[in-house]
Amino acid sequence: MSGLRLENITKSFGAIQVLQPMTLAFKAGQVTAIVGDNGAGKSTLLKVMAGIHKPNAGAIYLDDKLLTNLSAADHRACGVEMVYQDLALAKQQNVVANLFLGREQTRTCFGFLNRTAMAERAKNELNRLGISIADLNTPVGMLSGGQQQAVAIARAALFEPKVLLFDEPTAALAAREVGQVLDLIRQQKEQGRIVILVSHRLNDVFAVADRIVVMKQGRLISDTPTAATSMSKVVENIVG
Amino acid sequence: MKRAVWIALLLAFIVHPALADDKYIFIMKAIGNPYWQALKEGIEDASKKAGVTPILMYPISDLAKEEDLNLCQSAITQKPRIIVMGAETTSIGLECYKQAQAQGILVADMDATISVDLAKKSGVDLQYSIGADNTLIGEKAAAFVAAHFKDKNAAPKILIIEGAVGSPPGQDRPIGFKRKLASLLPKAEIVNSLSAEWDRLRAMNITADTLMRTPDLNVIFAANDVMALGAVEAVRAAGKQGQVMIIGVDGIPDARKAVKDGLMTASITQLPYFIGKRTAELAFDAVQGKKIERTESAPLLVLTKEVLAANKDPLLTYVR
Amino acid sequence: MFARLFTQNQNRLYIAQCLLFLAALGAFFSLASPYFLSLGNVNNVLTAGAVIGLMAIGATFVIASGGIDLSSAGVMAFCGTLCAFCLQKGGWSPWLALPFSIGLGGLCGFLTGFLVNITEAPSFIVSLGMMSVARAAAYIVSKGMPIYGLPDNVISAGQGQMLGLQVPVLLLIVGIVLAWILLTQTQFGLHTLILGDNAFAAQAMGVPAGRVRLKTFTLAGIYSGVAGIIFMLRTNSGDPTAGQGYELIAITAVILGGANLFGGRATIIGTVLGVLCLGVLQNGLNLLAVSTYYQTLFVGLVLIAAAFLSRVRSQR
Repeated sequence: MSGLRLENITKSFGAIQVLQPMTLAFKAGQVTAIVGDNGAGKSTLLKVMAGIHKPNAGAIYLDDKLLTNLSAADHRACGVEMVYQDLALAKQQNVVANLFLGREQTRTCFGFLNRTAMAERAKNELNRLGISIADLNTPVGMLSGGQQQAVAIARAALFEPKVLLFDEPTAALAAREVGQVLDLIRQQKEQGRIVILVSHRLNDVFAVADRIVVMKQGRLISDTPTAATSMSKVVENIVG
Repeated sequence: MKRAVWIALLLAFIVHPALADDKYIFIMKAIGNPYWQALKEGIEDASKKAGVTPILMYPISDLAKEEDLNLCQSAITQKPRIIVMGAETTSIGLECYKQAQAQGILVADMDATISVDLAKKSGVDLQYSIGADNTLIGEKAAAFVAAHFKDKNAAPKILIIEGAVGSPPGQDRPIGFKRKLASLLPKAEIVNSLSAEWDRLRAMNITADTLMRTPDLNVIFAANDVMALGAVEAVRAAGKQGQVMIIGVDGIPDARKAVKDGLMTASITQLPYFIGKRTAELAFDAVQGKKIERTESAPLLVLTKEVLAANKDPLLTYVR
Repeated sequence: MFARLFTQNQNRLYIAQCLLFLAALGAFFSLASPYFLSLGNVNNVLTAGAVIGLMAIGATFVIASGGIDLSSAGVMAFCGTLCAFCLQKGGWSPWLALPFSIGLGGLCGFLTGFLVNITEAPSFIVSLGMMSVARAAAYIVSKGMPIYGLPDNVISAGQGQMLGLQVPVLLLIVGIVLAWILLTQTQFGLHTLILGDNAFAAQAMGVPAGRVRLKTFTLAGIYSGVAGIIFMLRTNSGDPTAGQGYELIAITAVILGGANLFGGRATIIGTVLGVLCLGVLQNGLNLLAVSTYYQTLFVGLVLIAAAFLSRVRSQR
């Protein structure tokens, strides 16, 4: 079976059970939004999928490969990328260094950086995604919030991942920057990737998601295609 | 259970010193200083002779000064009969003595680290103060320079390397030197007088910079031997070996070696081993209530190549 | 235009500021003293800067990675004393004694890094501990007494010239070039800066944080070790009390050179300029025979000026 599958995943921190046994499957070329109130467990679920938290029980498969108990770095190697809410960027480093963070291209010996190759590839990738940044030598901290978000997304997309996880991708953005980020998310879906996002902003969720999963107190409340539900129903599920 | 053992050990550790009687505490200066090493040997030899085990306390570093006070206070808690201190500064020394005196502990000063007048004014009753007068050391060095130049109208160019700012030996030795020099060689020119904070490399850098400005420098007087040895290396590096007279203070082994090798001209020594030996003897006498001289000035000896080669001066037996 | 420069390349701007400051100091002293610009004096400034310079370069890596190394002066004294001991008391060949002492300096740094990794304590605390341990090791090796008078062949080589440069200056230059290559051209250098910039991001993105930290501290230890050797060669002695307080001067030079004290931004060129600023100031004031009281005042004023610079820097 292809796709990403969670089977009876549970997670607790000490005595607090954050995730009740949860089974979900995600298809390629589909955007799934996970919504819910604070403390619903949606962020934890995302981090379990990214390999940052280990589940207490259950299994995660990606295209029939078992990912459970692999580290975050191994998840990345298997093609699961996460875009963090705080972006996890090195703000004093330039765009190229951030795009290749942890996966720098080196020449054959002594770990000498191949800066020209990285700059070239960074430029191509950003062009392909339609992200415009005047100077790739700019420290990332000097860019606008939307541009920083775009760099974080481009980094996740750079090594052709199978799964992209977004934690609150639009929460910190000004209204005019949201559109661009949603476009980038759609673009990833069109590439045939599994896209999963956690968000508080229902407007953005309805604008981009194909499927909406509502969670409450660590449980699955509803799981419906976006077309088959409405804002008021989702809100009702979240609150009720 | 384990915890109980620890507490018991800790208690034993705290209580234990109070069990001993007639304790003599000597608060030294930080280790790493050969002068105080010799002084320590003097104390130990005299103690051995008297069959006493003295307690020696050391600050980790001389730079912080405050450590002296901390050591003093922990010395007081051990309730010794006498505390003898080689203080880093006069004010801290006096503060320590006051607190000790209030507990009925005798106090004394070794190595003339505090001013006896100030002690009197502050109501501190020093059993004795032994050491060499720092101003006298400077004067002795100046007299040595003057003797070398013979002619009263000679105008040598002189660099003075001071010790730490605020420490009596660091400042008083240069002061004595300058004062005596002005009367013996009125035309002498002091081209630079800077503090190297007792640091070898700083002294070296100051010397190198001064030689740049004054290539025909004649004399370097450093407030201790370690700094003088730094100056030796700077003079050597500038290719002026043998052209500059270098005088240090203390007579530490390395300086004696340098004097023998002709790298240094002289070292004024106040015979630290002698001071250590006498300070211990005086401490024992004071505790036994014997009458002793309140101030004792240690003899000075100018160590030159000739003095060392002849090996006749009786004071040389105290040079360690 | 200025604002643009500001946002485009911070590092270059900070280096330009530092250069400007150095040039101002240089201009002032060359007007005030005719000896300042002489070849011999330039040589003096560089030789005098070698010990602090090498320690500062080592510290640059640690600061770049978001740590702080307070052990450098202790390690420096330990390595110099140990090497003098091996040469003089042990009769070792310098070809054995020098690499051995420098290697033990690296080991001190490695231990600091290792302890920071396993305790997850601030490197400030761990390196403070190592400072005392290394200083104590120097006392133990030398029994608290300076070791004076090294073999003639070592001293004449160490105080002589090589390729037309004083040996300390030559070592400093080699150290600068190697450090520059490591920090700017290798994956390790980039990882060091990223770790200092955002430790969480570094870890999440698979940067081997522990290994990078270990390497930065080991490098700092090696550089302190070489500094200790230079101290030993210049002063012809292994002095266990050598260089008390130098670790702070080294860190000051790094910050003066535009590094971020909390990590993520540091350049070797900036550090070298920072060292030169402090060295030129000291040398110039010595040439002018300014008394110690006022020298201390001027050094303080320069540091306050540097603090103002960094305030301007943070207002981007």
